[in-house]
Amino acid sequence: MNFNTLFSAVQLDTLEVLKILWITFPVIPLTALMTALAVKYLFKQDWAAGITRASHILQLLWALLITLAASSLEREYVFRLMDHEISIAFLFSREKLFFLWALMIPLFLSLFRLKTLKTFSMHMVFLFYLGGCSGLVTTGDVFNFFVFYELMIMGAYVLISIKDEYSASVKYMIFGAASSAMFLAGIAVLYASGAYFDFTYVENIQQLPQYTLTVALILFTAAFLIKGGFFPVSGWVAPCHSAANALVASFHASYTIFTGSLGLYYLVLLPADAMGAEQFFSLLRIISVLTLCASSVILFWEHSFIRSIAASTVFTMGMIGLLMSCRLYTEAGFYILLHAAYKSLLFYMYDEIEERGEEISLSIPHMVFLAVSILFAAGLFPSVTGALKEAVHAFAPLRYKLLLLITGMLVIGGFAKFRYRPAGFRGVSLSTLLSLGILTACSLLTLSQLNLQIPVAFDALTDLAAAVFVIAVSRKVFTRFKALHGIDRLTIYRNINQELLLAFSILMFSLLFILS
Amino acid sequence: MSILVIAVGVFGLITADNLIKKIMCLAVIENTIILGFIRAGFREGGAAPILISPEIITVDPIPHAIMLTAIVIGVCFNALAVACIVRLHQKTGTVQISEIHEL
Amino acid sequence: MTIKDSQIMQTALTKLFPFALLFSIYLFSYVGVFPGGGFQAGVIIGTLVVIVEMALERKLYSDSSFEAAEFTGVLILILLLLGGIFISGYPFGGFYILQGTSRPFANVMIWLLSLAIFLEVAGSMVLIFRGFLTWEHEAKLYMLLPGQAGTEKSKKHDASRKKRELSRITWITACILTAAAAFVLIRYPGLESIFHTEVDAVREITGEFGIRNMVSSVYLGPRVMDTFIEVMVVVLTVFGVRTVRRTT
Repeated sequence: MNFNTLFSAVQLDTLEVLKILWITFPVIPLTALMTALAVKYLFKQDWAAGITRASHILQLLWALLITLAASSLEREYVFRLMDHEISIAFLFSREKLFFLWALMIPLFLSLFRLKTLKTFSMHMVFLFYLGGCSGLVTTGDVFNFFVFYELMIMGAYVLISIKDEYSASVKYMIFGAASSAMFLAGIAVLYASGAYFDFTYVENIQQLPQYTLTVALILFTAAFLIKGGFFPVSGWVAPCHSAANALVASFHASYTIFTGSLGLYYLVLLPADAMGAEQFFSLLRIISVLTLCASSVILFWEHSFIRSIAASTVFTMGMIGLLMSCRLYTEAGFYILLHAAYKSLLFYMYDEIEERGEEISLSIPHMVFLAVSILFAAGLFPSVTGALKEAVHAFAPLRYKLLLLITGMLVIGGFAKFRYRPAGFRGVSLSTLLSLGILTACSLLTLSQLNLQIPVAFDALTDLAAAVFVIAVSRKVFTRFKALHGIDRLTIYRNINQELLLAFSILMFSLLFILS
Repeated sequence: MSILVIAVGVFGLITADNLIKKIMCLAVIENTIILGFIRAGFREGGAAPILISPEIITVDPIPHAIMLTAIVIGVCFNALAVACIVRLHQKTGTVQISEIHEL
Repeated sequence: MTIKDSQIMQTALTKLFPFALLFSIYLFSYVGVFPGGGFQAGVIIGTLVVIVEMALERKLYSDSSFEAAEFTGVLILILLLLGGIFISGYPFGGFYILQGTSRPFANVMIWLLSLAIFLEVAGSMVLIFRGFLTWEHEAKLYMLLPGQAGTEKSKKHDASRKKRELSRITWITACILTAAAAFVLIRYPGLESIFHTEVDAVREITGEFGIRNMVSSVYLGPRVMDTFIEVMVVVLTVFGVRTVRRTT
């Protein structure tokens, strides 16, 4: 369907419509909030749940309209707040649609679980959080990115503490504030180098002093590596995502942590490409490989199921980092979308199952869904993520293939080591159907949009054989090597001080690596 | 020069055992960065960015405007952090990191 | 020894109240002419109310008056944003729609935005403070001063163990930071700082608004979305503190 002809029939310009939709997208949750406050103060009624639902539906509608409008547009567009060169720019580009839909998937799912937000203030904080998330997708200005990011992350700090786990919230706050401070320092140095805050400063990057700009990019890299939970600073991800309830955890794992990669793409990799600085890509590749190795090992020795689910997000983040460092941006975008789908559904499923120590009882449909998600998480053959990873093999076939196979095996082992017990067939629930439906739709979309090479028979067989082997031996390996059981409480992670030391060491390491 | 103050703040952040001290060190780091940014917009011989007369030479007003926002965000973060720490204290009875197991 | 027993604090806080109030109103009304504006004035009034409440140990006004102030501020901002989109297609109207009108009206946007921010920040500062009080505090404001119970017991806990751990981390950190500082200071050619050309554009905009304060014309003009979101952050803090403290 050609949107242009539809609009020209009613004499509207597609670009004008897209501009209005794009700029008002983050304003929807904030207006809903305003309405709920008005109703509470003027009429003394609590309509927060209904208003939140209405705002979600409106945002989903907006996202559909934006995607339809974008189907006829090819390049990036910059919409300004005012008709002046120094006003705030909102950037539209097709890569941002991946993040838009990575936000819409948990939004759609949260329509069914809004009752978990019990008080009026919690609904308000949730709407602020959504306003921040929506703004991050639409913005095209560095300082505006910072401000929306702060709005989002402050909502996130409060939402994590809904289940009374204040230590996770405090840990997240300290890491978040440290990375925001580095981000602010990067903005300061960027401004000092003569660039204005638009993302489009990259076009004239050769006229700016390169050394100052490199320092700014290093600060941005360090900030986004901490925000995205890459290797040495991934210790906050598992406690924080497992401490939140399903609704909040689905948003955090699908969207909030990937804003780190959004920032890396627009603020580090694109300028580094324009400057010709290859070291940023190598740094990201090294750190992603370390993240993949470390997170899969830590996942294998996790004791609790919910923490395993949360820790597999770090594994995916390493994968995204690897894809982005090889300049495979579209593949990374689809990976993020698929991850949003299966991870949100995993968190919702966790609410419906019973867990007693290392024994988990779930019904057969849940088992099917869990098996499918684990294959997606590990990126092995029948899942579409396995095909997405094939693109990386073009760079260094044997090395990456071996690395991805072994880490995928560790991830499968990390989930297979629990004892699963069937809990009686209670009929196929709506949520399981919905889950498999969403996952299938996302996979089909990915397959249709990319020319993916389906792995040749040898690769597919290797993947399947590895999966079977690991499922058979994982329990034995887990119980045998008792000494490694405390691996998630390693010396370097024993308390938050040591983790912060690592956070600032990342900054030093990247400084030394890039400036040498 | 601001790098030295930031280094002191970072040292305090990493080694402090009391959570409130960590929040104070974060405040020091953020405020020093804000001051550093304002200094980046400085011009020799420039006056404050008020147009008392049309030909006056002023410093760059954009960092000032932006750092107003950053200061307010810092204040709000401190308020939220202290609220969470107070709750943590109510639950565990302490604000020392060495005594809180989950941190 | 609480604040109520201290003569100095009582005099300072209650007698200086009108002067501080006057100062904040001055800051607010001279938003276009001298350094000042909605934020600064609102924060002064908000913290003033908090300090006077602490001095008198009772609530001055009920929550609803401050909630009304905060709500009005946010309402004005959102109406300006959406109204601007309806009228001209730009959020907040795009200040060019006021171009060409006579001078007193050219800065009505600045005044409205400033007023909204003033009301909102003043209300929120008090509400954030009130969010920290629990029901037992509302009857009597109680300040935990140093030396009272609660700080003694943690001092004796495992002092030696803490020292051992601390010394290891201290050494590592000190070495890393010294090495980094030395590296930076030795190899540091200095960051080249370029003075921006956007300053001339800001000068123009300030002239069009008809005011003299260039900083106000930036954060209430082309970069007003940052200000709007930052006002939202302040309101978020109010609700965040209430959620964390579990008061509706």
